[in-house]
Amino acid sequence: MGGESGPERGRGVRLKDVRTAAGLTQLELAQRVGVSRKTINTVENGVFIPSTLLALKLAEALNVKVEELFFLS
Amino acid sequence: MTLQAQPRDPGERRRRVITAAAIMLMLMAGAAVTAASTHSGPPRPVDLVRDSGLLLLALVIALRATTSFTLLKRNAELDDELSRATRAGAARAGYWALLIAIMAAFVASLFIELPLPQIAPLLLAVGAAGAGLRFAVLESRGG
Repeated sequence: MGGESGPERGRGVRLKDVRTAAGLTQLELAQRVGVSRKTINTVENGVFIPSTLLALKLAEALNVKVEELFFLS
Repeated sequence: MTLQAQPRDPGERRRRVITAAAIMLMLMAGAAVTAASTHSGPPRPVDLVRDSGLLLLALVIALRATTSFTLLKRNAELDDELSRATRAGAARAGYWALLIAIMAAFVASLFIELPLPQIAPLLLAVGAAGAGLRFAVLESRGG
């Protein structure tokens, strides 16, 4: 249990795959969740880690569970 | 003849403006240091104008790069989560730049005479322009 959350675990982002599968552009997704296109781009590229609130908004906008967008690898 | 297209992304426009302002601030600080080292006596009107401009520009850069303060209508796109994280990073960079500059000035003052009117514009420029340039670098992430 506790060993699963060790610092050696990386994070994964599947936002781009899910977004493109939904047929949305970065700008369209950004408008749905109320952020800039640049924010979506940096989240997709792993440059910026979104807050829990934004992660939930992204999942809701894409109609998926948040675990399908962000996960520990 | 065609006019050059303006950047449509307001974040890109903000980044360019802050970069230009930070460079201008450093040039103004250089002029202020030069003037302070070559002119002694009571301040002349030209000194007051230059130093007022320096203070105002430093204040504007610091506010724009590290806070969401604006006198105009707030643009939600320019105040999203990424912008807030960028501002926090810029504030950290400005703080450390200023702290290191003050330490360097303190050490230098042990060996050479450093009057406040001569060193203050430099410290101001390092702190404010450091935050502004860091903001511009962080803001350039994500294209």
